[in-house]
Amino acid sequence: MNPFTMRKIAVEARNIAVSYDGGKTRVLHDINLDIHPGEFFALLGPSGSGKSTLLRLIAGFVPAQGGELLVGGEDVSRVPAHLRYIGMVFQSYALWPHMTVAQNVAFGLVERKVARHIIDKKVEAMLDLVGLSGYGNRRPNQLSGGQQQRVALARTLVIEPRVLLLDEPLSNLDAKLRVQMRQELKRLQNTLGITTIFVTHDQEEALTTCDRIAVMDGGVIQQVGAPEELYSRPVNRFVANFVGSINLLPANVLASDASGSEVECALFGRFRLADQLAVSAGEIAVRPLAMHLAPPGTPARPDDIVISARIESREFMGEFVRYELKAGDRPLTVDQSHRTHTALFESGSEVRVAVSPAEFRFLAD
Amino acid sequence: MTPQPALRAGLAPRVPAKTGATLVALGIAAFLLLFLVLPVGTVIYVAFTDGAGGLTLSHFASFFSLTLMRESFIGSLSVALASVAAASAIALPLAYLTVRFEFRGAVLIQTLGVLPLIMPPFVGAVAMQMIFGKSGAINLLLGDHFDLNIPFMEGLPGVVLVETLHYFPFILLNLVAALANIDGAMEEAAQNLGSTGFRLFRRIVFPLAMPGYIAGASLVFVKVFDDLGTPLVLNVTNMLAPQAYLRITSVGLEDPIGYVISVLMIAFSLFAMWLSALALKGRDYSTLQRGGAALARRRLNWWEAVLAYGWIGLVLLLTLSPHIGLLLLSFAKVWSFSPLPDAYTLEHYATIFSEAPAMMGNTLLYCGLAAAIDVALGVAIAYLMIRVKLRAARALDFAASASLAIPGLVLAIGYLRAFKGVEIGGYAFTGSWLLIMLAYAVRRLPYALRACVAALQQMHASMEEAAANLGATRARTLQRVVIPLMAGGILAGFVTSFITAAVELSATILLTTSQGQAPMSYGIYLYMQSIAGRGPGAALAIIAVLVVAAGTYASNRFIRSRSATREMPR
Amino acid sequence: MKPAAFPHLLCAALLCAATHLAHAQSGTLTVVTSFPKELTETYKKAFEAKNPGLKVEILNKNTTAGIAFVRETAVGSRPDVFWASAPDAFEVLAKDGLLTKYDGANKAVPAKIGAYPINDPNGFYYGQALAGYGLMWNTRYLKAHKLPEPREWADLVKPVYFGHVATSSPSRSGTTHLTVETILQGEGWTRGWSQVLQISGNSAAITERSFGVPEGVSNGQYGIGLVIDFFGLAAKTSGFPVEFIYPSVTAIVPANIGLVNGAKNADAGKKFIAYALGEEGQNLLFDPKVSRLPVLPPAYAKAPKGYPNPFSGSIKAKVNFDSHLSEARYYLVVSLFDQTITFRHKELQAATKAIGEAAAKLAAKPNAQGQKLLADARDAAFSPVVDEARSRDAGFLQVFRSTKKSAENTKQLTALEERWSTEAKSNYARAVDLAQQAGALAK
Repeated sequence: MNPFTMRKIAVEARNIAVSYDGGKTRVLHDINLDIHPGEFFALLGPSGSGKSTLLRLIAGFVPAQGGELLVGGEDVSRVPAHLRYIGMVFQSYALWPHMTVAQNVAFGLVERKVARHIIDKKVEAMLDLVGLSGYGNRRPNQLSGGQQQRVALARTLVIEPRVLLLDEPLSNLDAKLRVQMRQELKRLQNTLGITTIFVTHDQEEALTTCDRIAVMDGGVIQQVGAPEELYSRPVNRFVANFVGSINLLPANVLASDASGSEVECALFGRFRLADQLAVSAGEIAVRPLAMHLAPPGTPARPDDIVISARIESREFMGEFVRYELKAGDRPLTVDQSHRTHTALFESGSEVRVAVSPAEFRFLAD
Repeated sequence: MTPQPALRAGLAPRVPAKTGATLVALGIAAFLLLFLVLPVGTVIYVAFTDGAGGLTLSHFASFFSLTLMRESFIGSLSVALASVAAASAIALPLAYLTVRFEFRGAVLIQTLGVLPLIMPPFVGAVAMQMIFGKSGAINLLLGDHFDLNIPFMEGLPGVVLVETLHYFPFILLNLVAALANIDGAMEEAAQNLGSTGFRLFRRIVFPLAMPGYIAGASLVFVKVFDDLGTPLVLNVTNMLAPQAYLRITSVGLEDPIGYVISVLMIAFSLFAMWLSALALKGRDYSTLQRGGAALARRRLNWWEAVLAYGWIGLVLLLTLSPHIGLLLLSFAKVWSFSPLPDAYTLEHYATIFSEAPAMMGNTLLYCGLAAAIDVALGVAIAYLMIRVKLRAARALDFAASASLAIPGLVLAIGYLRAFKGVEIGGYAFTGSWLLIMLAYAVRRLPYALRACVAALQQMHASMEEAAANLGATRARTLQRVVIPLMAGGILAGFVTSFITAAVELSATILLTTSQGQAPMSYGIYLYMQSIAGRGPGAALAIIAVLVVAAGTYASNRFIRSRSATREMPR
Repeated sequence: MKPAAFPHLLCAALLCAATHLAHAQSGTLTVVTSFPKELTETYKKAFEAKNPGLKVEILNKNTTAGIAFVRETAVGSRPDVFWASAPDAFEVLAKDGLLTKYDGANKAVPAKIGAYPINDPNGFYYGQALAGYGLMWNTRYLKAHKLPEPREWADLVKPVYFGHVATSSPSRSGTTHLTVETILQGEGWTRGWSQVLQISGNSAAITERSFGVPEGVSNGQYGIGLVIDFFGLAAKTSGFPVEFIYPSVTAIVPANIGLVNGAKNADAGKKFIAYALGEEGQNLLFDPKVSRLPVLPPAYAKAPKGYPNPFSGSIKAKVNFDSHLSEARYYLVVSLFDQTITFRHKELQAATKAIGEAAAKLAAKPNAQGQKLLADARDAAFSPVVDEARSRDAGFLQVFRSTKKSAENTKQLTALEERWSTEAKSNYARAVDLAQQAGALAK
């Protein structure tokens, strides 16, 4: 049974900006976010995108230079870190080596002057919750990486914070443990229902774990959405590239009205898209897995665009095979799902590429 | 926190490398045996023998029957403990300020923190008498205006004052290094859990810096416990070191009790060092990750700034008071019973530059060579111990560190006794300046060794594995990767050994056999033996301080510029 | 430092080593001395000018380090000449066979000054200059503290000087030993010790080096010090606000020079000794920076005006110093001083202070019983813990004279030290107690 009561709290950012060197280096620019109560929310981006800064800003370690940060509806931007009741798990875990596991976990409660017997009870319950009962008297450096991670989580959660912040929590674990831990994180978040903000540079981690994701680059939020939305409807080249692999092909808009648009691209020729487009040039984005390869001459579905190309190289990825093609002198990446006994295309062989225009997404420049 | 043991296992030493390492270890062992264990052993032997040459513990029994000795023991112990406490009180706030706040004085604090160390202790005490003594500047002014006389320099408290101002940098430097190695996340995690201010410092930051503090504090304890010069200049005799000295050096007395005291002092110092090593065991708290940020710094608000600069100013003034006194003395025509000298002159400097340039050259030569030997041995011992994991290297480390506990006088007497009659190329070894240089090297080895060990510990083994992986032999790896990466630590060790050797007196005075081979510290002592020589002596001391300070500053700059180019982007 | 620099450094070092060793060849003469640089430089320059090709190496070490150095150096590479004040240091050197006996005395030097032989009767060492002991004071200090100028040792026992005097310990300084021994011989054992104890009780410090006293008086740290004459005279000529006088209870004793046994260059050593004892060498002592008294009476013809002359009676040396007595009880006096004064100085000061205060109170309001208690207090504090009869007991003195290496002997000695030390401590505590009672009666 879970003895911990976590309220579901919303986190909202309004026009938040951070810069260093008197405004010369912009780290965060005009951040607006609505994180719903109880949501598992990810900040995804490459290093230097500002995601960690935003997280540290929410925790109170980086002062905002403009805008508001609302937690549960009240502005906390002037509240010092130690009074925010926002729990954070650090990338390095930051477990104090001079304290035992139990002392580490009890720390926040001691600071809040909670009675000794309640502390003991809560620490024990929390260690139980993260699966570390009986480890209380060990020192952090006697634990494995995964166990240290759990201690860090327990230490943060035991104070029943209003929001839980996770800074690249899985980056110090090996691949297998990483998958296991992320499932466990999701389970824990489900059990406790606490609003959780998760920073990662690993799109797979974000896509698999989180309810919604904000993709960041250059201190700016590029797109916010559910995982499948980001994948299938990226709003710009950066998001398209960062979430999954993609082919980007230059394209021109020939005509556009409310009924749709007429677009031309050198590789796939002319086709119609359902959206109305306000620009004249841009790029067509198409996922490698959205195209089908077949030996030349194989008939295609009626609406499909068909081109011919030559296999340049092949990578076997397990679940699928990635082919690098040349159509004329234009490169194209195509993935084909792989089943046992399916024959693979050899390098140098000619193939037919079929794709439905419905898979195309037009990105303005 | 990172699973390093698994990584390190990959660097399993090959068999031939181990043979080479063993040879190097044997070489170092021979050096230590010859120039540390043998000479000290000959001295210790006296403490355990009776007149006929048989072994006896009777001298020890005689020692413990003396009330005076028990008092002296308590005196030494309380002075050492009080000095540690007072030095901590000075160093803690300074260390905290430098790592915690964005603030201009940080470099100043660190540079000035080294200044007391480069002052020959006995000269410092002479100069301090002119400032804080019964008829020093301050008491004369106090007497004129308030009819007050504060006995700063009297008795055991006087010793504590001088020792504290002289040795607090040991705690300061170690503490600053330890604080700088704490990952900022450690502190943020505590803030995140609701801790702040002094409470956070007490529960998280200080415990994490504890190893550095203990290392510094135990060093201060041992140095103060063994220090002879300060109590002697202040005419305090009820302490162990002066008792040993007074007995060993009394005219014509071969007093075994003096040797018993020496043995006890060595034993007690070793015991203190062992205790601190025990306390530090398994507590490598250096938590800064590669790419991690150090503790967050913030700006001081106005009242904090007033407090901080006030405290720094006060400490600086105290720290610099011997230097100020010395400077005045070096320019003074006559300075007697007055807050400031009667008249000023440049004559003393003229005297020095005509009489003492050879001494400056000797100091540079001996101390430079001694420091070079120290870092060479330091790198070798550190490497054998940490990387090759040669078990015997621990013993070498212990033996080399133990020389910290050997009073210079004991070592010097040991040298003269052990090498009596040894000739090199027809000349007596005991008459050669090589012996002075070796005494410096042995006495200052612990400083360089600690610096090298720290530098190597901070370097990840993967750096060497990468070199080995690219086909470098162990020797080439050492030469092309390890030593360049350790350069900062090596330089720090070199500088510490150099500057502390430059002010060594107790062994120097016994081992100097001709004026041509005398170093500056001996020259200062020599001049200070007559009324007319005080001015030139002070001038020579000022030059010594300037030379060493300039060297320290330059090497600091060098270390800083190197570490700046190597910092990883966040 | 770059690793490549090490080989270069090493080469440089070896080169230097070679050249340094080459310097230490014959044609050099090494003198171990405790004398200040001003004196030794004067002699070095003059001697080298007179003997071209012969280089003088001065090794300045305090007397004890000097003895240790000679003893620990191998025969044949030892320094050539030992030159220092303390006669007892030469006694030790001679006894340990570290000096060479040869006939190098200047025949024009008289055999004795007062009753003290100038040259060692056994011929191991020679008096080179004379030294008298006296009082040096800082005129500014005395003025500021409104203290009268002292004339005699006995003046220093007065309470008015409490905390203003400085002296060294006989175990640290041969000159101080001679001063103490002079007082003991001049005043007698019991009275003498009483005076020594009272002066020490009035002292601000028992300095570790004998030079600590003139240094402290020159810079104003102490008001009055017991010093060897040349320190006082040299400080005065250097412009310091100090004065020096010989009290009537003083002794004139020689500072000595001797040829070391096993010297590297004995011939040059003999030459130097002959020069230092000759007329030219003796005249160098008048140099204002040196300010010492020649052993050669005719030399005084060239003395500056007003220069003290021990041979003319201008110094009233009342004490005929008995060097045999001094030597016989050397270790007793030294050890007694250290155990009851040097190491118990804090307690002695407290007793002296309490007695002084009580005396002042009783002077204002006399009280017979108080006077008696005060006399008891003085008695407790200022009597030696070894009485005169014991100090003459040859068997007792023998304890101190043995080689000091046997365990049994060490045990005996430490037992004595322990007794004196604790006895002194309890005496001083009792004196404080008695003096306070006496003071209380004056109310």
